[in-house]
Amino acid sequence: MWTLALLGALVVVGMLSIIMGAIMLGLPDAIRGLIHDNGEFERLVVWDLRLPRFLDAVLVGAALGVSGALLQAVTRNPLADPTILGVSAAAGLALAVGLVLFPGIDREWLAVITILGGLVGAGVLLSMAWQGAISSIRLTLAGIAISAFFGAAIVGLLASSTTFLELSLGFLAGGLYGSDWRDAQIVAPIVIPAVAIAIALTPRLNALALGDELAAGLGVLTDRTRLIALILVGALTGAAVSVAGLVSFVGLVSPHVSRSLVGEDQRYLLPTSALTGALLVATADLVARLVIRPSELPMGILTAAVGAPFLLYLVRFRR
Amino acid sequence: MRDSRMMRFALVGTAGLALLFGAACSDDEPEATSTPTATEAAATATTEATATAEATETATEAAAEETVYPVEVTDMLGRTVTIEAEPTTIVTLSPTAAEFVAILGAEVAGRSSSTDFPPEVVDATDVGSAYQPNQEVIAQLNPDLIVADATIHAAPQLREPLEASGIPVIFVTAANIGDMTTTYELMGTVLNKSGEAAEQIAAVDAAAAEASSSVPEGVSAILLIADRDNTLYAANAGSWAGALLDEVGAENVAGGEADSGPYPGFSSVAPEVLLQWDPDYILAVTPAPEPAPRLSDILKQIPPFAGLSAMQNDHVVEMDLQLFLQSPGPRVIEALGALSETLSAE
Repeated sequence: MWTLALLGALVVVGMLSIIMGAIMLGLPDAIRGLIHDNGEFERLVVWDLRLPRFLDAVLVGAALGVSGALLQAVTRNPLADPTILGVSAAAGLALAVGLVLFPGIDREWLAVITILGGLVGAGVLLSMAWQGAISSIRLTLAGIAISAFFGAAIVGLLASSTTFLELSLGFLAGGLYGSDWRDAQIVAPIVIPAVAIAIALTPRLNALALGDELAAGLGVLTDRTRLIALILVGALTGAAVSVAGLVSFVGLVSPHVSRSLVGEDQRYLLPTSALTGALLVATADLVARLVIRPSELPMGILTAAVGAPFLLYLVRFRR
Repeated sequence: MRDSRMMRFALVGTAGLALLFGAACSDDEPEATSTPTATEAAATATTEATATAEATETATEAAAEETVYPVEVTDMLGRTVTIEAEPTTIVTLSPTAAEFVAILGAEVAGRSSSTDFPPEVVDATDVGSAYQPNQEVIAQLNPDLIVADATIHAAPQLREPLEASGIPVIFVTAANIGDMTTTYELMGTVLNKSGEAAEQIAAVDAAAAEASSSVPEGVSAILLIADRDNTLYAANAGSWAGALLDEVGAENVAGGEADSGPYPGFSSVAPEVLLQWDPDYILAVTPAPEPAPRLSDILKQIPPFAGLSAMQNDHVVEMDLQLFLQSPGPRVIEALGALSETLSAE
């Protein structure tokens, strides 16, 4: 099964993430750091720095992968993705406003603000597209406009705020520098239930794929399904942005990779997208930490660098 | 909590600037008397020289005063830090921080990627960029002191992980010469190098006195940088370069401007405003390395600027990037020398 292969790959990347970094550890050292709470150097590096960062990468990747899959399902548009439809930008704007207006704010509140931003973004998307019923094409067009608008607001805010200058590169390009257990504790209670609800929603999403009339004929409330899906997208994207900034391409490419592996059935496609997204972000973060060590590349650059050629390959050579 | 720290930081900065302005004013007063300026300047220089000699003596005395550990100090963010013993393994997180530690004669074990001065510091372990110091490499060095930069690492996203490591963190800054003096005293105590610190303070004061005496009365100047679109930004009184202009007694035509644009301490300048100000000297700094065109050359190619008196008198000068923009700190002595040489040239 492809799902098992992805899970295996994720475990391998997890192992590498724990062994490799600015300081290379041997496997025995890494395991000692993982198991023994001896306060030694290995413990600090493995348990306090690398493991939480890997888990953050998995949560961010899964959240973005599922967001992308949900958006592609409800819009019936293969180009849908939280970045392209403006949900990321709305969450990012909320995060930027939080950082600039309340410079000493707790990360918990920052995450709340960011998730609210994501929900507002999803809400604006829905209300703009609403006209008696939700039209997929209107949803897509509105999303692109919202993305451009909020994106411009973020850049404007960053340009006018000098205190934020040093953080803006990591924020705009996306990255997991400095993310730790606290980030995982904040977003896991959002991401895990949201992914579970999304998986529970998959039979209705399958019906939606047949077209609104047929879906309605099968007894699926199409608008309510879209509403729930968009709320999930807002919460998941907001959670991802609050930890990693604006990471592009994961939401777009993960469902496509998954589709080529497990096909169109949402019941398999959606969990596989979560795994693919997690694998992509974790791999990108590993590479980001290694390329110019001890400095780091912004991880978002690498998700695009890995994701874009793969998407091109799928477009050109598959199906 | 953090706000009050920021407040204090701002207040310290403002107080420092006020001191500078105060010093500038008191320098002006004797000049207003009928005594010929040159003689007056020479007299001032002599007085300063005596003062320097005294300061050196005081320094020698202070050298005898060793720091008694554990010692409690207040750093440049107003934080109280206890240093348990004389630090032996020191990690510095910015070029400024590294220079302060190295010039006092302490060894730097870890440095930020862009640190390239003084030369012996380059051999220290690279701990990543100043904006993203690598916790793993720092942990491996197992330092007993981390020296961070108040202008870079004050934001909670960078400050909190450093503090969480349990290693004492000292924030230093060189926003102006007043701050530098305080930082020298602070680091002298922390590193048990109070004598060296006093010598450095005396040397900086002497350089400042000499520079301000050699720069002619009433010279006006502006220090410009430009972004990719050649939008010009001038150093205002809040910047390092602006503080240096004040220190040597030059009138910074952009000194009173508020920050605008993305660079702290700099204000965007419309070309017509520059024409209106028409300073005696235009100092240009180009962040991009050669062969990128120098800003001083670019300015000469902008037609309306041909009418500027600085342009007609060939007073458009390229200044050193490290000294005036990138590495505020101990090299202030060279910066002041360069500034006084430039502003007193015919």
